[in-house]
Amino acid sequence: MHLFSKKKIIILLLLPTLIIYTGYIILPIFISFYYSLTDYQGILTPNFIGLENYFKIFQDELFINAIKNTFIILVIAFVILIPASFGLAILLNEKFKGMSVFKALTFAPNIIAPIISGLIFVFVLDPEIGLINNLLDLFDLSMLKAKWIGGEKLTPYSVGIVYTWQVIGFNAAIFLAGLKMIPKELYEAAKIDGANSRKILRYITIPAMHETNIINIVLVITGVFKVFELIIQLTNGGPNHLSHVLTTYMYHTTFRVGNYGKGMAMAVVSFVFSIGITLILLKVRSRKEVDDE
Amino acid sequence: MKGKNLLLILVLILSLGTSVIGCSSEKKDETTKEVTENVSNEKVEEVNKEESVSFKLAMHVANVEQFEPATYAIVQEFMKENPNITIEIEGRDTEEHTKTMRANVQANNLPEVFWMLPADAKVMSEGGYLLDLNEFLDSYPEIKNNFLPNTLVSTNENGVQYGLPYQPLVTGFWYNKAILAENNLELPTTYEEFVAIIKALKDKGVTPIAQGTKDNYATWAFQHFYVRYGYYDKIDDILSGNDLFNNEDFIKMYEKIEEMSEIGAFPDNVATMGYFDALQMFERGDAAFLNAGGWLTSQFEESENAKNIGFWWGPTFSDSEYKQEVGMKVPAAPFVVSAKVAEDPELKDAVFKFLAFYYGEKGTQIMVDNQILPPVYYNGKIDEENSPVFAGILNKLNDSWSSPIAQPDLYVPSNVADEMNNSIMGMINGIYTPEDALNRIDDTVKDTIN
Repeated sequence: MHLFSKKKIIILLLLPTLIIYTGYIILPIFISFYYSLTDYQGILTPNFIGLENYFKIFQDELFINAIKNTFIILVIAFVILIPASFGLAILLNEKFKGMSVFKALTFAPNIIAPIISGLIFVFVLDPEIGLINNLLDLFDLSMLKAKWIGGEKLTPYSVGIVYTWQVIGFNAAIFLAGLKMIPKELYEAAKIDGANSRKILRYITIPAMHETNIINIVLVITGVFKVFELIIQLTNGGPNHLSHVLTTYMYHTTFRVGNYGKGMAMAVVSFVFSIGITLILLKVRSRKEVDDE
Repeated sequence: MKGKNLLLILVLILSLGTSVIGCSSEKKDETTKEVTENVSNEKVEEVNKEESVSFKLAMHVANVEQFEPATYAIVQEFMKENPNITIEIEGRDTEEHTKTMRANVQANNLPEVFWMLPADAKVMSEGGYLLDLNEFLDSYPEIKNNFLPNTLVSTNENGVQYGLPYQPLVTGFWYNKAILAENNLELPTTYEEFVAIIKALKDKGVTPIAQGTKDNYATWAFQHFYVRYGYYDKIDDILSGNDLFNNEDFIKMYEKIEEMSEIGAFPDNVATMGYFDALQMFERGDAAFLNAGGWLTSQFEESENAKNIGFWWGPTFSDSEYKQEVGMKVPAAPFVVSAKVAEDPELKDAVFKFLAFYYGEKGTQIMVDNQILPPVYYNGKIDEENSPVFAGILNKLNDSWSSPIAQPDLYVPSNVADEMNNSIMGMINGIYTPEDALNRIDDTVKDTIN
């Protein structure tokens, strides 16, 4: 005799997870949204002020700059990180001597805490003490020296590169898992039919990796919108807040300046951007696939 | 078979239970040991007779014993003398501490005594969350009268004394006497002399001022500039919307910082240096001046270079009509007491006893022994030979220069303070013009007023 129906058991088993997920993920989103509609300063009672914080943040040139910096990192992630990690996965899918060491090395940056990665790259990118500018001096290429961090323009690009370095192994591992799932028979049949490597990649590998691509795209978007420690360690948002991304500027506004209402409005906007971009990209991809079919 | 299984389960539960109880009782023993380790045997009996009281002291450093040794030592000594009072010290880094206290206000769960940023303390007091300490000051008039001038003013709002300075905030420029001597330079007095020294040092390849702009708050020495350009004659009008930061005097002030930046007063990588990088640079002897304050006294005293380190209030300005002999001898962020303490007379008495001990003779002596400047007058003698750095800064604290009521950025709401610091950093980084920098603060003030 069954004490519970199958449906009831499913609900019962899901319930703890759902409660925790609701309590720790869903509820804070609504709380943030509520505070974004108030003048809350972190102390005393918040007063409802409607959408005023949203009007204010879109008039704040530093917030607009933080959005711009976040998108620069996102573009770098799409242009460099995704193709590079895909290429790396194809390389890792081959068999050659020392493969396991190579795999470990490519994944190593991902297990280093981002704050440590930031510290390491201070010694690489700093305009005075950094490796790059000192090497350029050494090779008599001083004209190429730049303020890779700490200047008014290059910091988000440098952060994009460091972020790529940091997560490339992880994204490659996901691509590699996708590659391993493609049936070998498909490749064998393609080779028999005379397809070259480029055609195999174009007509077999990439289409067969559809699900993996989606996972990686979502991970890259959410990852970029969570970049925080790298900025804090490399520049702390400076000079003069010009290298802030959405997360760091939101943190600065909320906890350093004490403007919780405005900070929560930034958090909500950041959340909407992250979800919105992910949905748009997924929609575009699925439409493209329908067209291809 | 069933019985065997049941027995096994019982044994397992029992053994787990015993180990849990064992662990907890061991922990309890340890805690008791910690609390009572400083209590002398004779007094243990008294503890049993008197009812014991305990309260929390929350500080703004992660490890109070390491980073606030004077406060830690005072608490230990106080507990030794008052075995029926237990003080539980909580420590978090400043940002985390501030966040936690703000959250505790919402949860109505503030610790009994805690360090707080002045602007937040004022808001908490307005909300009725803090105890008016006039009762304490009236109960201990000898302590009230021994506070350094102005140290109680900034935490007094409409007669309510909502905080007491935990230490004086003494800020300015530390300088390396040896570097100046090696380059045949003397400590400047005026801004013009300072500029000449900066140029001379720069020409000789020495970084004149160790400074980073990565940490927005590190503007201490420049806060003197505000005061010397009439900050306290203007700020109330500015905050009420009747004057602007972008005024003739502050433009002159910001032009000075701009000039300092242009002539190379700061390290080339100033934008990627934080306060601690600047400190290391100065300690290594790679820079002649360091923008910081009295909290470094014991650190410098322990260094090999102690005899070469001096303290300076910063340059005076001949183009300002305001008083120039002003040094920042102001109250640091205050100790405040939760209003809930008033609900329990014994607890209130214990807290008052602690405050009296902290600001009294013994507490002051412990601060001095730990080379921390006390917020009250100290009449003891300092061994100048063995403690040259501490003696030097204590002399500055007791010199004839007057002091403003508060450090300028601690007098205004936190968002205005942040923009004041940001504007100074913008001048040092060479990103803003004086007008841009000051307009930014005015925009923030306007936003705050509205």
